[in-house]
Amino acid sequence: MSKYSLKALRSELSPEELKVMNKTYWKSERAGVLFCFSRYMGPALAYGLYPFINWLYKDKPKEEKGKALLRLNGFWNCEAVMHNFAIGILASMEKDHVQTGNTTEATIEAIKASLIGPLSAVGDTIFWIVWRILVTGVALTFALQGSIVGPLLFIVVYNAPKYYLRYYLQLLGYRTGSEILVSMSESGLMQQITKAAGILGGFMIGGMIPMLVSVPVTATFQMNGLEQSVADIFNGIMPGLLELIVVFVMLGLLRKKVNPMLIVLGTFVVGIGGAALGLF
Amino acid sequence: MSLTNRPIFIGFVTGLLLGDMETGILVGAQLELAFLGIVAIGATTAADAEIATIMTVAFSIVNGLPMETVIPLGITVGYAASLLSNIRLLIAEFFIPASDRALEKDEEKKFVMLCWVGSIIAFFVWPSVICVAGVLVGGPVLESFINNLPPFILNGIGAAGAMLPALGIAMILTLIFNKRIAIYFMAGFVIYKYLAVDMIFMLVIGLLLALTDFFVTAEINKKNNSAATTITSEEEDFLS
Repeated sequence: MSKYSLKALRSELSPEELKVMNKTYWKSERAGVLFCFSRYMGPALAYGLYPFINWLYKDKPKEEKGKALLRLNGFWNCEAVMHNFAIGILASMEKDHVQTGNTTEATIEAIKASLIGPLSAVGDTIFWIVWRILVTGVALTFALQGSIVGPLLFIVVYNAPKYYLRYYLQLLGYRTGSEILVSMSESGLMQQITKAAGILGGFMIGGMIPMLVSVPVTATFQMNGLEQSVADIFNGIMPGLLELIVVFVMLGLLRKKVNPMLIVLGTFVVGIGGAALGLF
Repeated sequence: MSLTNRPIFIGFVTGLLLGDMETGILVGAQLELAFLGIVAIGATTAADAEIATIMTVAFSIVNGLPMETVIPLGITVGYAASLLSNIRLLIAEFFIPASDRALEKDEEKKFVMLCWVGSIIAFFVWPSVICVAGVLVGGPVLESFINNLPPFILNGIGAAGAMLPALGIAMILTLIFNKRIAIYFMAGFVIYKYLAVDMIFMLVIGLLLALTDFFVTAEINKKNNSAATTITSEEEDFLS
């Protein structure tokens, strides 16, 4: 069909190139090797692209190959699906660098650094937030009843599209090189995707509050001789108001850079203190 | 990166290994709720959901502690354990200089070996040590602790446990929440709360809202961008 279908992308590569790309894809599955403070996912990039560099620098001097490998082992951080997109883009730049020399080492470093932010933003919103939470939500309905369907559904459904997308995006990135990013950001496609994913994520998360959070207030008080429940008063204003307040108080604290550990302990203090006063 | 370390899955695996799969799944599901927003983006984590889940399942099965009490405590363990488990990144750091040297000399086998050995020590051996030590030492302590608590404290711990999933949600919100998203967030909240629908219904409505916005923005971008003709075809190809 189109020139960007997976079939078209694969048919454009020489058999040897395709083999190298496939090898890179399987090695890139280990996106967390030697994850550490100074490099983050750098070693994963060198680990994944090693077969490709072997192929590219077959007849080149060893020092140049060593330099290219070291370049990959530098700082790198990306969401795991977009990691493969970046692998494709970086591979195409390395290829251009070796074969034509148009792409300089400085350009590669600059583009590599500029990929981190936008790719992670898109990837994190789509996969980490929207897709994971959706699958978790469905899987939890089974898991909360102790059914084995829950965990298995989670792992299979969450990962299946990622395996396909990672492969597709790697080949797409390899085909288009860094140009695709220029056209994507110029046309506003990048922001469009992030914004739409943010809307879907925000909507789903809003729905998850009544599903997941509960503030078990059981206290009652006497008014005009009648027994009034505190929870009923809040629910009379708006159902779920208490849960919403708890979420926003925690969001406010997190935005003020309060350590989450302190928020957990604070919740315990409120819970136990409230229970001592007969609130819960 | 396949999320096999999420509570919902690792709880099931731990339960299976300890001979009580159902408890593992139930504990894992509860902890998944609490750690939903624990972000694996960036270097360190605020809480180690993986260690928390393994230890909580072990407390429930090995020490036979009641699930409702042990789960909120396990969440606390997860936050405390992150201080220890973040050391794994320092362990991995030790292997970096050698990996640089191996790459420079193009010693592929040595580099691959360093990656595997370093990762296994940092991300497998070290967390295992924390878990085993935690269960051996913490189990009996926790047992006598829970058995001697007055009921109102257990009640309070239960209430805290019911509220704690809010933290997971708040953590996700720090990543995406802004004024524009607030209205969609409230819409999601109200629809779920008032209509008591399920996740699939929410997804369809959410997709409707997101795609509408996507295509409206595309129209606006097209008008603003006179050179967009070539790009548009790429967009469509890319999305198909």
